[in-house]
Amino acid sequence: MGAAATAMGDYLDATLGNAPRLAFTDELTIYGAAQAHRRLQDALATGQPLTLDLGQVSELDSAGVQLLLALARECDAIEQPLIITALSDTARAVLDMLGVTRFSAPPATT
Amino acid sequence: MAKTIMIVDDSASLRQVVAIALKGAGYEVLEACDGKDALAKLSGQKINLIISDVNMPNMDGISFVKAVKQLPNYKFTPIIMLTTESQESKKQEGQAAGAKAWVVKPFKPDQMLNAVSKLVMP
Amino acid sequence: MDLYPAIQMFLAESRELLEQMEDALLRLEADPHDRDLLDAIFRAAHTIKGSAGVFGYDPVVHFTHGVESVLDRLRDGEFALTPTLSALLLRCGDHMGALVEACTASETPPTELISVSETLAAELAAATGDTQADETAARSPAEAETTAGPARWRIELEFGSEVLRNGMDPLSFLRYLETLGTVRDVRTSIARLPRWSDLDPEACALDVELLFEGDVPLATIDGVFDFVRDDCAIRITPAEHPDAETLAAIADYPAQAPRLGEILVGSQAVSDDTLRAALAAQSAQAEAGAPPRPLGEILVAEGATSPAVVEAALERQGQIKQQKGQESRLIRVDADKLDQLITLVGELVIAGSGINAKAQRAGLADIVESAETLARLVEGVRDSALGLRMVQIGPTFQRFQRVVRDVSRELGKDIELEITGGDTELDKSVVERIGDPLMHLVRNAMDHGIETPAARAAAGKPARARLRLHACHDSGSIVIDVADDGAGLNTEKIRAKAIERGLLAAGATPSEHEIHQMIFAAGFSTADAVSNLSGRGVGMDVVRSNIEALRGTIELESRAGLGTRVRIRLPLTLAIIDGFLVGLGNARYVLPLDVVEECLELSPAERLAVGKQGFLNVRGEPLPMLRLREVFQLGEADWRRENVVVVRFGALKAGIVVDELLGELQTVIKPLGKLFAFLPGISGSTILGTGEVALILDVPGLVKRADPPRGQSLATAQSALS
Repeated sequence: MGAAATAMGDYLDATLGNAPRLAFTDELTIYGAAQAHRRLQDALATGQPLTLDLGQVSELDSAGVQLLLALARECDAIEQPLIITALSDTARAVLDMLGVTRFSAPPATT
Repeated sequence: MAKTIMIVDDSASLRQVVAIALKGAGYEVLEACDGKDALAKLSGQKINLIISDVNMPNMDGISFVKAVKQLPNYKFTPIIMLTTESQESKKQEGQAAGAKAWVVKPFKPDQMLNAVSKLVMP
Repeated sequence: MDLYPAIQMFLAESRELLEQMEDALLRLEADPHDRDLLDAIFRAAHTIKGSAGVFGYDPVVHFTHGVESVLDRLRDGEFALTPTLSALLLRCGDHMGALVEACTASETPPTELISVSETLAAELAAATGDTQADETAARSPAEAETTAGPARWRIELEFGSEVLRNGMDPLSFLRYLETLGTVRDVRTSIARLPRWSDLDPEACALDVELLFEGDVPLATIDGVFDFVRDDCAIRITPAEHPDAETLAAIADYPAQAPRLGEILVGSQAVSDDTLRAALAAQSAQAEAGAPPRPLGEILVAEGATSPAVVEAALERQGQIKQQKGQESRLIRVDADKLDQLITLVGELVIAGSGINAKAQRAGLADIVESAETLARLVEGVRDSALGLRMVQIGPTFQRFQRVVRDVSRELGKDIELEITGGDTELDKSVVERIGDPLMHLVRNAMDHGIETPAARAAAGKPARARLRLHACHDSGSIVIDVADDGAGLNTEKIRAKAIERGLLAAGATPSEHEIHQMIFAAGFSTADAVSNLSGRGVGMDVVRSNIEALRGTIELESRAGLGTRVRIRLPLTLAIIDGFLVGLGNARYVLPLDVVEECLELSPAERLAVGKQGFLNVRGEPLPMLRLREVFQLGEADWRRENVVVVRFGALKAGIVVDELLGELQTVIKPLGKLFAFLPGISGSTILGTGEVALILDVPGLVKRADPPRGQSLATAQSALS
């Protein structure tokens, strides 16, 4: 468990073509929410489809969920595809608890 | 991963009873005897909840709450204030400083557990 | 839970604290005001009480609470530590020790100890002049109540922006609810969340809705959210399965079409077909001659929906109707509260002027700017506040329709009342007080002014006479006219009466206009018989003083054979005025801005001219002059220059000579005390931003007082030129 100090710690930027691929590891909570918002903003700005890997998320709180919902809403609005490639058990449990079905099972990948 | 609760109160016996109750429910407990002591102990480990008395020597509860709100790694930690019935203004002060939960002293351990579990499950 | 070690710790701690308390009390005998010591003894009692509570040692808690309260008040300085009190507190400390020992040894202490507790508590109360403290039950928020409610609830939560920052996560509450029962159908929405680029990631804007099933009282469910109650909107409603959805939909039905059937269909309580069938059944009944059953009843009877749903729909219908009805909403306000508000606004005006003045003097540009912004806002508030008191005069005028109809019939005259300008607004208090004078004028017109149909026919006038009530705004005043097309004033009769009363010398030759003004003299009445209309001969003098009491003026114009017009002018507001400040030496005076037309400088040559003839030539027109110094007998000016403020009231213009022109201001009129109330020329006083007192000038009154004949001749001069 990362300490709070490294909440929202590292994420990997890899490129698949030009599509930004972001992974959030560690916590996705209010402590790192501002930073996450900025990083996601940068990714959105590329105008490319956004791939999000949440398979390593160790903790997800309502601030994190709120951010994800906002991200989904924004992607819908600007018609930029948002793909969740993986969801940790913790993240899934939290999303279920809040009745959020938007980010359900990852799609079958090619 | 067990949730960790910090209890800040100048009465050792009270701390001990609360710690027993909380540990019995599955939480980890960290004790501090006043605000200064507590701040010294908030140095990196994850704390899920802080319980703090209002009336303490060296650094009183309100100052402590305000100090916690300044710490980047702890500023969003929920805080339960322990107040007495006659100190409504202290309770208001605490709320204004950001401690939105409270338990009135004297309390039974069950009441404390109840309040705690509304904010963080073990 | 094995508490033995903790109990031992409590015992040791308490003994130590009690020792400290005793020690401190003894030291306080030497210095009873030592703040630290007083704090220390308070905290000792406080800590013991708290810890004892955790262990459930109620006798300790109960007794110590009383001691703690006294110590709290003691350290707050509510009373002093007398030797008596000190001795008593020492005994209390001893007793606390005894209680602690007893409780830790066995759960229930011996009864003698309890009675000692009571005795000591009584002594404490007596010593501190207090009624005994009540039992303190340990209270934490939201204890459960006794009666359980329905098993199913809909919970709707709108979490406030600060909850996440305060560490209160919605997830925690959901988890807690799960310990009380079953949570299902959770839905989370970000409807209130701003756009992605505008949102604050740490601020919460989540709405969560869920169904909760559990055999717990409502209070318990509600109590779950105690810690976020202030920040959130919480709604818990019973959810009767399976109508829960429907009821929610009904409650949210948009505020448009309020027909029951529409609400039911719109909320998907019943289908369109079902509704149509029910309506058909209803009209079939009506055609058959039987009184038709209510739609809701039919639907329930057919099993199409439940009574609860129908009731909810009817309630929503009523709600919508009520909302519509409230669209043009009025609110009743206590007149006193409004007056209070106006007074406060008045103070605000003065304070604002003060800031403005000081800012100007200090010459600080940015403060001046802010002060000006403030002044503008204050003006807006002032206008709004005063506007609250404004009512239309229409209803007052309308009341006269009846009067005119009844009286004209009684007099055998044919009179039509014409009302114009009914939407003119004036201050409520003015409207209330204008009724009587108006009534008198109207009766005068009907009784004396307007002729019988026969007389009118003989004079070649239409049989139907016209009486006109008119109101309008004119240069900062309200103008109200009472006019008739009757015979006009009988100049000869008035003249004769005036001579009879000694108001006029037999050989004097006043103008017709001047003769007309004489009817305002006290007790003047030319009525041959006192008709029951005009009462006891209450004359125009009373009308005039009523009007003047409202800071208004009254003018009269009449032409023989054509008619009479009485014109009343009233100030727009009685409370606050826009004024023009002038100085005479060290004295300050305020002229109502609405009468000020322009300002002129008086050169030495012109001063001489004015001194001689009392007129100033302004752009070819003679302007009658009034020297304020003369009027108020302030002695000669030692200024090289004097200034003139040209004022206009009604048709008259005059120039008022002052020393300095000091600019515009707005200010609150403070009425003069009884002693000065009838000072002609002064209508009030005010406090300037500098704290000085300035007198508010009553221009018409001034002119009259300064030189009554001149007041007349002003009119003459004016009319001679027009």
